[in-house]
Amino acid sequence: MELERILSSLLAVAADPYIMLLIVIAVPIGMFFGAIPGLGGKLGIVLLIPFVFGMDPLPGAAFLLAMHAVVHTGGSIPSILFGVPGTGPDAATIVDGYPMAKRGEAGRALGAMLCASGVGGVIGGLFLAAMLPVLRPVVLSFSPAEFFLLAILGITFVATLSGDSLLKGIIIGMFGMMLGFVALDPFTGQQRFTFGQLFLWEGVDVITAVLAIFAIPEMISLGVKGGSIAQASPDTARYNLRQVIQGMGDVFRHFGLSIRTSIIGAVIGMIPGLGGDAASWICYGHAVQSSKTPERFGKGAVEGVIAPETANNSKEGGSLLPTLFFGVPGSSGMAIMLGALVMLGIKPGPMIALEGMDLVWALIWVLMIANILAVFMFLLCAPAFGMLTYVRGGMLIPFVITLAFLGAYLSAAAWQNLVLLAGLGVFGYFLKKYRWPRPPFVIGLVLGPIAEDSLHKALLIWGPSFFLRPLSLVFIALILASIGFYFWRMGRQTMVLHYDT
Amino acid sequence: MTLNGRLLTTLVMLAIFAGMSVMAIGYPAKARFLPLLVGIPGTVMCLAQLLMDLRQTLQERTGRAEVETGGPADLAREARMFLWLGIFFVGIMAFGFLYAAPVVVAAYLRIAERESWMTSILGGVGAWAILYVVFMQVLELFLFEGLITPLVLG
Repeated sequence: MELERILSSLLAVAADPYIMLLIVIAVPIGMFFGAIPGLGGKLGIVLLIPFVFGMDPLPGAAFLLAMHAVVHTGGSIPSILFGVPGTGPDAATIVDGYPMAKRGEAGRALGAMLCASGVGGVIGGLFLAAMLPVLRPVVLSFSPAEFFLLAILGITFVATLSGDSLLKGIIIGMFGMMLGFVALDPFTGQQRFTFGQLFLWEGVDVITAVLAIFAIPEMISLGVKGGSIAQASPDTARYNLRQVIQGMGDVFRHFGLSIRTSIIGAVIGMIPGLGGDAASWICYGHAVQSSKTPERFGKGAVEGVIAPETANNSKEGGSLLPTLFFGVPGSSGMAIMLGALVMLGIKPGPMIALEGMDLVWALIWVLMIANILAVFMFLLCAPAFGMLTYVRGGMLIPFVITLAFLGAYLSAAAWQNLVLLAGLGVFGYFLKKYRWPRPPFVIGLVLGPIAEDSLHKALLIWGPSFFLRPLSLVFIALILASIGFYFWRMGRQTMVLHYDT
Repeated sequence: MTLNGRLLTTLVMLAIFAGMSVMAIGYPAKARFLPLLVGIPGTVMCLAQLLMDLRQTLQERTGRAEVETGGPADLAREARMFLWLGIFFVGIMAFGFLYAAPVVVAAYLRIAERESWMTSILGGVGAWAILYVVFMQVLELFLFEGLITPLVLG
């Protein structure tokens, strides 16, 4: 029965020319967003959202997921060639990738990165598939009490890993929750914080809020900085295809490391909020620790490229787990994806384990197909990707702003959302400027209503004693541990994790 | 002490939390429970953040800490970007996506980015083509026409 479901899901994706075409279009777009420093996967999703309006749930989700799955594959190109990370998590690749490029091995580093990303993405998908039989009964056993605490855990995790101020992270997460409360109260029908505006009765539109907090501040910031995004020497960007193939072979020469770091990345991705930087740096650390010649690291060791790259792509498979089954995003990118899935008519949460397994399997296949396609697409147009880094950022600004306004309007067909976008966008810029971490905002906005609904239900069933349920105590311990970890990290200052600010 | 951007950002955050908490007090018990549970600690935390910002600002003034914010040139560029955001907003609100966006895109490329006339016009035409062909024809979506355009075109 399950095998039949798995194969039919594969057929639903691979035998459907429309979905395959969407994936083929999405992969280079994802690599483009990754390769241009300052754009990244989150912005990619928010800008592609207008294009999936009106699509059926599977094609729309496949398009967005395929794009998001390969962002880090593209993001590593400027990391290796110019020492400029395309996205935050790609920074770990610089440590050894850029020295390799400087000594004339750019092609080898790119080949290793490419193959490692592909292997990581496929293993991430397989990990997600392997976890399904285990996860399904767990998800179905969760009560509202656990869902409430899981929501709080998600916000706390992201707050502790965002930037360098726990206080700011928590405040922003709570700010997101407060905006999540803007709507008709589901229990009393009372208008809350709507100021009599009809368009707010169903709540602040998540897509508009995300566009305002991420896309608009990024574009204002890009306009303020001016100039091209990458200002690096092109000397390191010379390579040939033979080197690329040699680098791909390196991944199989270090296959044990590739498998281990892929699995570590997928597990880290599964933990709500822990996200990209943690996965890549922890796996880089593992590569150093498990090497017989750790002194080579930092000077151009190919394992130093393989480890973070496998982790970067495998974590996407892991982070889909909490996103789809608990409605708790595994990362800020997944928080935006969550909003997009809801917009497409997909309802992430425990019910997906009962009614949406075909879709889950289809998305697993999309994840794997996109990662494999990315390898071939890079090989086909390798020289062009290096040039992407020189795209003048300023020229993108008016198009991105237009798409942001368009996405905000289309998400609820309400012009009032344009006002919300502009106002919140300006505030978002100051949040970015003064280092208020923004990912907790999205998590709070998405999880606020879930937390409220779960809390009311838990109180109705058990009263305040729901905090003393065994699983609740485990979650409370995890919340306290994540805060404790933050202070421990601040005290030691040995491992700097800038999740995203 | 003059009010700087950092303090102002925290003050706005404080005002949001405090304002929403005060508003929540008037709601029925179930409707106000979680907003107050989040809003009151949020207000307290914003006050704590404000104190930390004040301390940092004082340290910057006395030279005991490095000034983090940009200079007057940055402020001018910020003002310019806010102005452009305003132009996009007002243009789209007044004349809708199909008419305003291509014009504002071309104007931005020409004036703000100092691109050539050819590039700017091509940018505007490209924006129009994406909006009309992709969104209106292929995806069959209705794009906002603006508040003034329907009055003019009838």
